[in-house]
Formats: sequence, C-alpha cells, structure tokens
Amino acid sequence: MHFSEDDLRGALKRKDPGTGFTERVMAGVAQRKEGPSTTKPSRSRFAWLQPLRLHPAISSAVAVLLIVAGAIGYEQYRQNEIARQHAEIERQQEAARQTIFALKIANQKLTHVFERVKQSETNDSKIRRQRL
Amino acid sequence: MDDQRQLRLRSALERCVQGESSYFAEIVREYQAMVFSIALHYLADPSLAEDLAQEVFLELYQRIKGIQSADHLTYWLRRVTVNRCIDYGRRKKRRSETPLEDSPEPAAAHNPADELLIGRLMESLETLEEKQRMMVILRYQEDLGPAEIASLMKIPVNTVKSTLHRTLEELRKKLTRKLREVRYALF
Repeated sequence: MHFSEDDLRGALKRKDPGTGFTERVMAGVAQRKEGPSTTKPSRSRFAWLQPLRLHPAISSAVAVLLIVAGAIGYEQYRQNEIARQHAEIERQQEAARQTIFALKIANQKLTHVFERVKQSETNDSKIRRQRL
Repeated sequence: MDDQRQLRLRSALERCVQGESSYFAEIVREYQAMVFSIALHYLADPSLAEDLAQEVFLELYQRIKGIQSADHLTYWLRRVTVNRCIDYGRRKKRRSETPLEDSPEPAAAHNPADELLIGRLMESLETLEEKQRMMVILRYQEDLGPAEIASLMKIPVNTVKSTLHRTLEELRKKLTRKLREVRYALF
C-alpha cells in the first residue's frame, strides 16, 4: 500500500486538546502559586535537601571543608582528653604524696610518745630500787 | 511565525517574565495544539497526552524567566515534550498492533479510503521504535528538517536522515503486509 509524504502530514495534523485545557493548566498554575501545602507531596524523603543543591564543584569543596573541620575537631578533642588524663594522674600522685607525708608526721609523733612512755617506765623502776 | 503573532507572543512572554501570570494563558492557547499533538501521536492515548501536555506547561511556568524569545520558547516546548514523551513511552507498556477501532480518531479525511489509510498509518506508527516514531512526528507534524530534529533529539544529523529513510520503507512494508492480510481475510 503506497502513501505519500502528504498522506503522512495529513495523518499527523495538529489537533487541539479538549475544551477547558487552558483553564485546567491555569488552575494548576494557581495551585503552584498558593504554596507547598496544595502541591503533591514530595516523593523523596530527602526532598528537604533540595534547596541545598549546589554546583558539583562547590558541593565537593563544602564536603572537603566539612571533613577537614571534622578532623581538626577530633584532634583537638584527643589532645584535650590526653591533657585531662595527665592532670588526673598528677592529682592522684599529689594526693599520695600528701598521704605519705601525713603518715610520716603521725609516725614521728607516735615514736616521740613511745619514747616518753619508755623514759617514764625507766624512771619508775630506778625510784623503786632506791627505796629498797 | 508571522510578525503580528511574534509581536503578540513576545509581549505576552515579557509580561510573564515580569510576573504577570495572567498572560501565561495566551502562551498556553498559542502552543497547546503543538504540545498536545506531539504527545497524542506518540502515545496514542488522548488522556495521557493531555496529562503530559499539562505537565509541560506547568514546567514552562516554573522556568519562564529563562525563556529569551518566541523562537526559544518553541524550541524549549518541543524539546521538553519530546523528552517527556519518550520517558512516558518507556514507562507505559508497549502496545502490540492495535485494531483500527481502538486507535485514536484519525484526522478529518475527504473520503473513506483516505480515512482507512490514515488509520492504518497511525496503527503502524505505534509499532515503530521510540526514536523512529518521534522523528516521523517531528518531520511530518512539525515540518522540521533533519538538522532541527537532530538538535532537538541530540542525535547526529546523518543518523536522523538514515533513520527517516529506513522508517518510511518500514511503514510501506507494514502497510503492504496489512493490505495482503485484509485480502486473504476477504477471499
């Protein structure tokens, strides 16, 4: 079956859409203008990220900056932790030193008291022997 | 496009870009037949074609500030319509050859033989591969040359030329086969 290019043009002539098409489009436009509450809900759970869409180069630079900032932050945290642990050790050592010092003093006092008691016992025994 | 129409469209476009959305209706009225017909001839489904056409115009409304002239507007509408048609077509289940009575109503013809031919042509068009079908529509509905089709569809010009040539041959073979089938059925 033969057909000409004109036959094809005839078959593919433009047609108008149904009546009211323009009105339906303008109703859709009015809905869009009203705001997000009247538009179709976003299909993606990540739709809230859409406003943050950036040029790929800028996105990459931001990502690199975030990684570097994270690394610096972690390093600072690590340094702070080490300093805190050193301070804790220092504090414990100081407490031990003070305890030992206090025990030394107590020991000295007890030694002194013991010597006095011993001295007193010796004197008493001398006096008893003299009386006899 | 004649000068008066160009002037009117340019004015409507300028007003839309400035935010006067009431002028958008004029742009829709001017281009609705073009957008709807590309979708209708490609998808062979009037309601789907109308949905697609509405989406194209709503997208245009969002991006109207980027449109620089009436020619740019025509190009933009065709390109977006073509891309959406191909996407829709891929999602939609491919139809096998449909009987004539299920095909969309053919364009007005002067005699029954023409109507039959148009009907068979539309039927055969639906069975073409997606890019072939779109090229035929752009060539014979929109009267675009191979270079313009190549620009719209982002395909090399030589590919467009060879595909159009091959497609017409294919359509002729399909129609000849159909005629033989009708003859065998009758006799």
